[in-house]
Formats: sequence, C-alpha cells, structure tokens
Amino acid sequence: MKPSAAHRFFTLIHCALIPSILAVGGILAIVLPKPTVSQYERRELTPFPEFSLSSLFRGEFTSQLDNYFADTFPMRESLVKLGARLEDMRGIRFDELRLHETTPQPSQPETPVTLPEQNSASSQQSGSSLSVQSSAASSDASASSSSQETSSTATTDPGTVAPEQYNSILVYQNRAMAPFGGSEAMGGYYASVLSQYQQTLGDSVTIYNLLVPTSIEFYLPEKYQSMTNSQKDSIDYIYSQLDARIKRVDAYTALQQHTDEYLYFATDHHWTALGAYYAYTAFAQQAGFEPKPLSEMEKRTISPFIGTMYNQTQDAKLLENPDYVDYYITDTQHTAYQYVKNSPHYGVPISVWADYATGGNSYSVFLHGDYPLTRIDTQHKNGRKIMVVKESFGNAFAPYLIPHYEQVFVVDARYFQLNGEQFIKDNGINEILFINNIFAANTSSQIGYIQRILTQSEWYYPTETSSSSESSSSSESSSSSKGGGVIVIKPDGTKERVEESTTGSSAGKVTVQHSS
Amino acid sequence: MIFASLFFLYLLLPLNLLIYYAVFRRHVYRNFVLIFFSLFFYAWGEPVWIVLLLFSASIDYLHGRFIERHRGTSLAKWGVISSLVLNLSILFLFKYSGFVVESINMLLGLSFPVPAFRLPVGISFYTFQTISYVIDVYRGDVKAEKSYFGYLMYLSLYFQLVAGPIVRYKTIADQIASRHVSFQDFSDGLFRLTVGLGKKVILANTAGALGALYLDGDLSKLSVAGAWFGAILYTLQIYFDFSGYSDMAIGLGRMFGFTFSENFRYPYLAKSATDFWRRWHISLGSFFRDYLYIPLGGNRRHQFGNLFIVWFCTGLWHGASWNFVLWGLFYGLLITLEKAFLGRWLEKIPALFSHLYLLLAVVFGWVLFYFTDFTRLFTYLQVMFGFAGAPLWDMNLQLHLLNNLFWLIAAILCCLPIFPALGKLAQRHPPVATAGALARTVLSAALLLISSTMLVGQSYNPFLYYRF
Repeated sequence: MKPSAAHRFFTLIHCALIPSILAVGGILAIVLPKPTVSQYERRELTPFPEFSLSSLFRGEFTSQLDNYFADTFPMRESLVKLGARLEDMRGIRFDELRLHETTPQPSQPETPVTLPEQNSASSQQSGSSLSVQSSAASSDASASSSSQETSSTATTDPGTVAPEQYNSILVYQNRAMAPFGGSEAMGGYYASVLSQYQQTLGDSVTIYNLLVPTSIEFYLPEKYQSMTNSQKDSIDYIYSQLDARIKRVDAYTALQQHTDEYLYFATDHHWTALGAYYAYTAFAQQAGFEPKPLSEMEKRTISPFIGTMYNQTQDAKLLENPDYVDYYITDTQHTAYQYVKNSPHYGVPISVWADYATGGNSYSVFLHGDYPLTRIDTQHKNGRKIMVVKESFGNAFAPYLIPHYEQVFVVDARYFQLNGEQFIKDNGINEILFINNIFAANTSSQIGYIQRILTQSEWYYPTETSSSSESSSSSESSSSSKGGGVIVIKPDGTKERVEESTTGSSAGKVTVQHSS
Repeated sequence: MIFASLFFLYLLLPLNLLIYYAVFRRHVYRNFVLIFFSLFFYAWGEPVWIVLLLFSASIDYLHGRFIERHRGTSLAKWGVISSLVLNLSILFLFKYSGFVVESINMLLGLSFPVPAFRLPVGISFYTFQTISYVIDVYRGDVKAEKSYFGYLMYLSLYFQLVAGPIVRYKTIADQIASRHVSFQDFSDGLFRLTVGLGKKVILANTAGALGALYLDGDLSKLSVAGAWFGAILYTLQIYFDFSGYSDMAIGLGRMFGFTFSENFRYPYLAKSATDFWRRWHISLGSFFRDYLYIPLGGNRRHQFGNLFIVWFCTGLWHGASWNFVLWGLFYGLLITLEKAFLGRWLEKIPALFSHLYLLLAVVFGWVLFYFTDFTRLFTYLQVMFGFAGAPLWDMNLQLHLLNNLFWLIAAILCCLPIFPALGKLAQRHPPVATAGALARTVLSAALLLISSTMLVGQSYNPFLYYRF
C-alpha cells in the first residue's frame, strides 16, 4: 500500500522539524550570551572548563563541559519552570497535600571543618593541642550519647551521621513544611556541646538555650503527623540533657499559643519577626526583664517575598501565594558594626535592618543576612553583655535584645573566626544565648560549628587565588570539577563567592555561605 | 557521553547529521564521518580506555582475516581460541579481577591487594560483539570484513557502543558496505529516538528518583507496601532505562541506514521466565544461546549443567558482584523448573495467573539485582514479605501514589504494546496511517520538549545547603 500524499508530507515535516529544533537549540546555545550566575537558584553556574591534558584524561573536562552546556542552555530558567509545571501534573493533590522529594544526597560524613593553620605564631602554638582537645570532646559526646541511646538501631555516632537534610518537603494548603527527623543521639550531642560551654566558662557566664520549633510542628493536620517526628519531644529531650545551670527558654509554648498568627513563612523555611517576638517574650522571662510591646516599635513591611521553599520545590501553589516580611524597628539608640569574613577584628558601622532587601532575599532584612559577627552597642550602661550564637533563625530574634543590653554580639556559628573563650573574656560577655531551630540542633555539622567556636584558634578563609590553586592540586576528586560552588547574592545585588575551606581531608569539602 | 544529554542532542547529533548528509556524498567518507563521531562520542566519557576499544578492534579485525585465510585448517581454530583468550582476558582484567580477588580474600581470609580498575564504558557490550564476529567468521556464517575501517565502524558505532544492543556483524555486514535511507526510514528512526528519549528521561529517571527514596532510604522506616512500591518502581525504571536506550540506538541506526534487531519485546507481558528471556535484552539472551548454551551441548547433553553455566554467566555479565550471579541463577532455576514441569502447568492455568507468576518473579528478581549489599538485600526482602514487623502502609507512600498517579498509570501503560497495535490499525486503514504520521510528528516534538525540560532540570540546583 502506497502512503497517501498527506502521509508523505507529514513524514517530511517530521524529518525536517525535529533536526531543526535540535540544530536551532544548539546554535542558540553557542551564540547566545552565557550567564554565569543564576539569580533564581542563587548559585554560580558551571563555568566553561579550563582545558588541561590531565583534566581531559581524568574525564573532568568533558563532564564539566556537559554541565556547562546544561547550566547555560538557552531559556534554561523558563524550561525549569515549565518542568515544574509538568511535574505538578504527574498526579493529584489529595487533601491539598503534595510531597516534594529531593533525591537523597550521597551522605558525606560530617565532621567539624578542619581549619587552616597559617595563622599567627601565637595561635599556632596552641592550635595542635586545641584540636586534639576538641576531637576528644567530640568522641566523648558520641560515647555519652550512644550510651544513653542503646536501644536505637540507628548509627549513634554523631560524628558520622549524615546531616539532617530536607529530603522532602510537604506542601499543605499553600504552606511548605519540611518533615523533621532528628534523633536523640544528635540531640544529646547538641546538649553536650552546650554543657561543655558552661563547664568551660563556669558560673560567671549565664547561658541560655532557645530551641525554635518549625512550622510543621503546628500546621500539619493530625492525620499526617506520622510523617514527621515530634519536635516537642526533641526539645524536651535536649533540655533534659543540658547542664543544670543552663537556662531553658520555652519558646515552644510561647509560639504554640499564637499559631493562628503569622509566625512562619509559607514559602520559606524561616520564622517571621512576629514568631521571633513571641520567642523573645519567653526569653525575657528567663533573662529577667520586661519585654517591650510590639506597639512601641515601628513596623515596616517588605512584600512580596517568595522564599527558599519555593526554590526547593518549584511548587506553583507557593508562587501564587507569596509571603511578606514584617520587621519592627526599636527606638532604642544603638550603633551596630558588621564584621565580615576575614575581618574578625574590624567592623564597619551598619544598620541592624537592611531596608533594601527585596524578593527572594527579603529575610536578609534582619542583620543583612548571616555574617560572622555583628556587634550592637547601646547607651544602657547596665553591664549586661550578651553573645547570641545563632543560625539564620536568630537574625530575626537578635534585634529585640537591643533595649535590654549594653552590648549584643551576634555570632554566626558557622563563620565566626575567633577563639570563643578568649572573645568572651576580652569583651566582658556575661550572658550567652544559643538560639537554634530544631533542625539545626539535630545537625552534626551545625553542632560541630558551635563546638568549634569555643576552642578554635583564630583562623581565616583562604583567599580566592590560593584556594583555587590548592584545591586543584591537592585532591583528585576536587570540588572544582563541579564548578563554581555556591554564590551568595546579597540583598544589594552584589554577590559573594563561597569559600572553600582547605580541609586536609580528601573530600575537598566546601563550606557554604548560607544566605539567611 | 550518553544520548540523554543536552550536549549530545543539541550539538553532537545535529552536527553529525549535517556533516553526514550535507557535506559528504560518498559512502566511504560517510563511514569515516561515523567513525569519527563514534570515537569522539566514546572518548568524551572514556578518554583513556578508548585505546582498549581500538586495540580490540584491531586484534579482532586481524583474527577475522587470519581465520578466513586458514579456513578449514586447525589454524583457524587456534585463531578463535587466541581471540577468545585475548578478549575474555581483557574483560576479566577490567571487570572481574577486583571481584575475584576480593572473593578469594573473603573466602580464605587472605588479604591480597585488590586490583581497582575502573570499568571502561561499554566493554561488556563490545567484547561480546567482537566475540560473536570472530566465531561467526570461523563458522563460515559471514565473510570476514576486508576493510579495517569497516570493522572499526561496526565495533565502535556509537549508537550501540555503550549500552547495546549487542549487534552481530552478520546482521549489518551489507549495511557497512552500502546503505540507503528513505524519508520514511529517517522519520521512523527519529520517532524511535524521541520515544526512547522519553522512556529514559520521563519514565526511567522519574521512577529512579522516586524509587531511590524507598530503595536507598532508611529500611527501618520502610512499610511493606512501600517496599513493594520501591521494587515496582525499580522494575519500571530498569525496563524504561534499558529499552529506552535500545530504542534510541535502533532509532539512530535507522536515521543513518542501519537496521538493528529488536532488543525488547514487551517483556513484562511474558507468561513465564522462559518467555521473559525471549523478550528481555534479546541480543544478550541469544548471544548466550548461540555461543555458549548450544556449543556446550544445549539440551542434548547434560542440559541442567549447561543451564547452570549459562545463567551463572548471564548473571555475572551484568556486574561483578555476587548478587548478579544470584539473580542469574534465580532465572536459571525458574527456567529449569519450567522445562521440567512448571511450563506445562503455566500453559494450563488461566493467563492471568501465569502473568502474575512472571511479574512476581520479575519484581523479586529486580530486588536481587538492585542490592549489591547483601545485608540490605535481606532486610529489604524481609520487609517486603512481612517478616520484619514493618507496618503495612505509610502516609508517605499514600502521598507519593496520589501525587504521581497519572504518571504511574502512564508508565504502566507504556509497558504494553500500544504502538504496534496502532501500527497494525494503520496498515489496514490508510486514513489512520495519515493521522498517525501527523500524530507522530507532534508526539516526537512533545517528547523532545518534555525531555529537554527535565534534562535541564537535572542541573537545577536550588541551593541545597540553604537551610539555616
């Protein structure tokens, strides 16, 4: 049977169309200007690989070229968004509930980051003994926690447990929430690190611990509660393990009483300034002062805000229901100084609130995001000086302390570069608040950072030129082959490159600068 | 390089088509174009061990010539033996030496240094191709290829080089010498290519990502239904991945004038393990049949011993690990039982039950296949069969099922012979054929677009460590 003319016509069209699409795509991919940064994903795209014979023979050149091609493909962002749309059509949202999964990451053993040694001579002297001390402490912690947790079948050595990742995110009625894992082993490790602070610093310093539950604890319907572990249990467990002298701040109850208010963002994993405010009232009880009413502060708003949970899930429902960021300005006179990376001794005057924060970075309005140290001086000569050791949840919280303290030192556990004990002595700090969301308090790397601060000797991030040369020569499976690493886009639109910590280990681990 | 990558689809393939069809007219040059692109394709992922491919091609080209010259003498036999020894030694060295030393160490409590060769891409496939060529020449089934480049093209042709099908020289010997491609051929090939791409990217990759949550997750939190779901997803993944790849290879072949034999014929529709292996990875099953089972004596002499050897080797071919051997022997056992008595039973009982029997065996088999770690394998099987005290059902599973409901239905439908049925319909009704030609164009474009969005999405990296 001879095919009809129409049949032959369609066949010809087919033969012409598909190769044309491929060719046009390829030509566009070559001629169009190549972006280097994805604002949307907040990362640096894979750059065009540098050619060398050794990278060619290791297969790195070609695999990076593949990544480069995919990363800079024409209209990539639109295609990714279209892909997300299509993904949503794979099934139905029963109960308005959708479960997003990120493919399990190959779990890297999380160990506290080894620090570069090329510091001042004085710190180098003590450096080796300190590192021994800290590793001994960490094995102590693991031993104690595993003995408490004999029944658990899971790995109980916090040093090797993979970090708690957001393996999945639930979207329920336009609110994205990450199921909580957590384990007593991790909680015990966290408690032991804080107790270690109390034991080292003695009674001259009052230590507070504030654990922040996240939205899934309050907003997931009862019948789905089996998908997440109880954060209340984890908080209670940690509080039961802490040194008796550490003051426990019950932020949980304070938040629980206001769950009908706007405590958490729906498209972002953080809490709002209002949520932080209720935690502050709970903290005030323990710290012995009267919290300022919100009405005495000036409220400002940034809108709209579409946060990290949208980036993670690409869930269209989140995009359709953006958040907004309220923040409250205190009338207490103060001056703030920001100590950026590799400048641990010199701070620049800065405002506590970054009014210019917009879009996906709106949460950076609080303290401009995460910096190693922010110092806030006030006129109160009441002698109270507090160090707030935090991750990004603490950013929304710390400004409320301004009216009550002579000095507030906001320390980000991940990036702080000085010896904590010395820093506390030098500045006459007499109170320490550890504020962590419950995920952070169950993540070994985060706990490791907190532990590290106490004993570390002053260290520096390697400068960009030296880090690239070192990483390319030192480790074969270097992260440079993956290209770029992560870029942090600051609220003002400037970008900051992620530093690579020169770990001696083979992994070539990357210390990531978290954006708020 | 792999077919399911943007770099191949949007750069290398159009370039290859352009240079092949628009620049060169003469057949010899076109063959050189294909050799060039094939070697480039291979070197892209295997810049070092491409020398091994070239070495293999050279020695077997020479062996072929040698055997043909000495046909009928004992020298020809020695030629085959020499080729087999060389090829199998290379395969052994790169694929199995580490495994064997490790097994010996474990068995005898010794600690020989374990050789750690990285497996060169496609070595299992092209070694078998080259073996089939030498034996076919020896048997006189086909004349030895005269041109070295002709042979190099046969062996290195990038369509089938890295993941099969295992193409026999005798099936494409004529096409190496001359090829003709009509628009209909080209269109068929394109369609096959995009369908294969869709199978790989839309179905296999998605099934893989979803399945990994169950198979690679914390087994202590797995429910019984979750374990089955994970196993079924892997069953879908491996079929769409492998058959999708074969489709792409066959499709690309057609676009350049080669006709490769089918490698899959809807294997999950089989009614027995014997039937399954006539439908699954046909080129491998027939290789073992023609070059191992029958030479061993087939079903005429010590059949059960032969079956054991064949299925041991089939398992081992899939990977240097004992679980693959176990998987192969599992099929060997089923097929032996079917030859003994089970086969007759399966034909008598209602088809539904024989289908169920096969599917159950297949899913179980893929679990054996999946876990190289025996501790995890046994834990997983315990959960699957309710010996671990795991809950029957869990909420995550329910959400996954619902959130992926349409995709799941589509994936299962794609295991059925829908296109052949439509093709038959079209043969009888010309208007259907015309509509089909249009639908094919649209479907091709749609599959390409969707696959591209997903391939682009794979490098999507939403700032993984953003968390605190």
